[in-house]
Amino acid sequence: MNPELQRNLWLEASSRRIVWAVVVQAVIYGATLAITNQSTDALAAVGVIVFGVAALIWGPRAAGRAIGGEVAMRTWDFQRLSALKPWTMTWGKLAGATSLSWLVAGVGLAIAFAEMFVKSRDPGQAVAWLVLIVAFAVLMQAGAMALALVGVRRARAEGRLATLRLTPGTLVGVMVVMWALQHVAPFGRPIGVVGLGSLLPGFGGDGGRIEWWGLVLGKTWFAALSASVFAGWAVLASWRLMRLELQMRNSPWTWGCFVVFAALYGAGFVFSTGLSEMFAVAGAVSAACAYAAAFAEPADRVGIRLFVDALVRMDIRRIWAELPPVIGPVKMAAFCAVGLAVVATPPLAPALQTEWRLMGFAALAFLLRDLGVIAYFRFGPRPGRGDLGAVLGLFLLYFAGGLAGKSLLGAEGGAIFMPTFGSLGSSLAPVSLASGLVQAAAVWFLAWSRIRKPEVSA
Amino acid sequence: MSEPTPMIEVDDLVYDYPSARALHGVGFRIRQGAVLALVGPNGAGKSTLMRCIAALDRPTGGRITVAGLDTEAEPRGVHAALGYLPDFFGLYDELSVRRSLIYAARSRGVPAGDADAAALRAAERVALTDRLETRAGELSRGLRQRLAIAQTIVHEPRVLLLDEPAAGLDPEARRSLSDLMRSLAAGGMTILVSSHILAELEDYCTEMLMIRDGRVAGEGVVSAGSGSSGSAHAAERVRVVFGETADLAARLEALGLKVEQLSGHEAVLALDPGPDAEARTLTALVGAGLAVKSFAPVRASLEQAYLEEARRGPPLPPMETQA
Repeated sequence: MNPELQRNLWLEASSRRIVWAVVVQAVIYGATLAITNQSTDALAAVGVIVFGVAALIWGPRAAGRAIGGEVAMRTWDFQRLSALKPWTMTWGKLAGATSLSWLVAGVGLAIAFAEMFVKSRDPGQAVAWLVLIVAFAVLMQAGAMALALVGVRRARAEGRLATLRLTPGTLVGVMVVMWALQHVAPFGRPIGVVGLGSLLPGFGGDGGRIEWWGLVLGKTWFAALSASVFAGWAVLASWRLMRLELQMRNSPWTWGCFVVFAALYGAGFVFSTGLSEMFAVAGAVSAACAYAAAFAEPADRVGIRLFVDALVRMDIRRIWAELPPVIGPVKMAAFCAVGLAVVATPPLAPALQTEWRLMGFAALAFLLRDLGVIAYFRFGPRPGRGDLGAVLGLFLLYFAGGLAGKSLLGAEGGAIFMPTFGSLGSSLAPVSLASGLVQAAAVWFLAWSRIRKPEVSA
Repeated sequence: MSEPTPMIEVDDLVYDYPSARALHGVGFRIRQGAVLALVGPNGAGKSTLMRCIAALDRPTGGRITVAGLDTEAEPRGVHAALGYLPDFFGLYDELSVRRSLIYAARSRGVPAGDADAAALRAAERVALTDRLETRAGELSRGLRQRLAIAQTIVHEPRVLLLDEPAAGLDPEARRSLSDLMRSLAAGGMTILVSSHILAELEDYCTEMLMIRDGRVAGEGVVSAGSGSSGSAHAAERVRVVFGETADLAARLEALGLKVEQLSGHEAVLALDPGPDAEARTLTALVGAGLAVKSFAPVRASLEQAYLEEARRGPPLPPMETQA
């Protein structure tokens, strides 16, 4: 047996704990039947709740603790020195740490599924729901482990002990943002959030239809397949991050493939709208990946300096080995900006063609500036506070700067601080592009001065 | 005679924390089978150096090889070749000693069929066989330390790195640790032990490296004679007590011996290098008709070596010399 799985089972699924889990469940389901006069509907609803608590809250917490707990107990270095392969370590932890939560969740799920399958007019829909909810739980658990690994790497680079505080908060935050964005009209269909939001499991019903890359699919089945694929990516991410923790090198291919996949996945939702919209959505998804990478990657001066040294020496092997993960999505976003310029089809009037063509490049310039702002704060003397500093800095630049610019200089002033699309009679995209490039150059000059000259006391 | 194969080679090692440089171009070599005391004041960079050697942290610059493997190019090979016990370690409190050791063995590549035997062997080495079914969380501090060491050596690594292994141990446990170190070294293991308490290293270390302010102090790896074991190194001098002898100084000089101290009938003589220097000197003294009442080799203590190294550089902060 996988030693890591074995150890986790010894700790998590001891016979004493299993007996307790069985007793508690017997009490919960017994009480439900007694209170509701043996209502199977109520039993199924309680089963869903138990599954939700066990698989979507307890499970991700356990998966995160499989890494964070080791750091807190000071056993992580012992694990990093083990001879286990990263994949063995990853699946051993993921399956072992969540074993008891799956035991509890499985019972709840079995009760709920049986009720739904028996009563459903469309058993296929019940199966789709089952696949969706299980895949979503795996996505949450593997995502929690990946986030914990990101946290450990970041903490080490920043010279502090990793904490688990961010893991549940980040997961809840992602879910809330996904849910909220799909209900906000400007962010709905155009950037593909409808598709991402559809990953949130719905309970029962066929959930309508969804169009993706020209295919019209049942929403529940589409969500089930999407959740399964993203769960696979989350497990893959945990494995790749585990490799890094075990001091192995990752080639940038996997991350690059994910960025391309995410861009194509997002673009699929606007397939019928037009090529320009597809490039715009793909570019926006790539930019989101770039922001995520900029925050997730440790503030590792050594790595950046080695990368720049390799770049100067044109040492291709070294460049490949040290390539910062933010580069891939930026290249993808740049490709989309070029695509947008080439296929530009002005939605309103031919006179706006130049605006439309420059808009992608203006957005790209602001992306580069934002990445510079994030780097500037995260490579500062107090990297632990870098995230908050970067978020505040970006907020000030976009909103306070935008407001000030607009009130002082009108629409052109606003375009200085935010990529802005002009209307008939006004040309704002060139202003945004020029401003974005100047700001990006200035911010990266400051950021590089921090990366190049760390505060080292002799 | 050819140079012994270095088991650990460190060249121009630099390590930066976000706000400070911890190691400034550190370089040294440790021969196979050496038991090296890594000494220096708190904050000198000893733990950082050990983590870099263990391929757990990536240095800013320089190169490290362990058992011929580059820590940057082949970190997993290095991990397999060594055992590392950090100064602040943890145990799986809910696991029994037996399960802790079986997991340690299995996770270090010991085949499933051999894991039980490896666990038992490691438990025997640290005298924990009577606690195999005890939960790690129920062990005393000293026993936890023993279990941690057993986990570190369960796969019989070629290199052992121990960071402050005797911290918090009582004198008896320290004696057991010394015995274990000697037994492991006798088996050919290369051991690097860091401590800021010299007395605990005295018994078993054969060499010493001092780190100060992130730099190698003095002349790098130097001999650190082992006091009580008497097996580590040949003595550099002997203390001889003579019977009633007239004109002792002249007679010793006539024999070509280097007299370092002479007080009454007692002399401290410097020995020539070589394995049989003690025997040759004694033969010469007896052959010259001198009445030798006592002949005791004097080996340099680790503290002496430390102070000698310290004298070569700027003043050091005080270090504990008592256990």
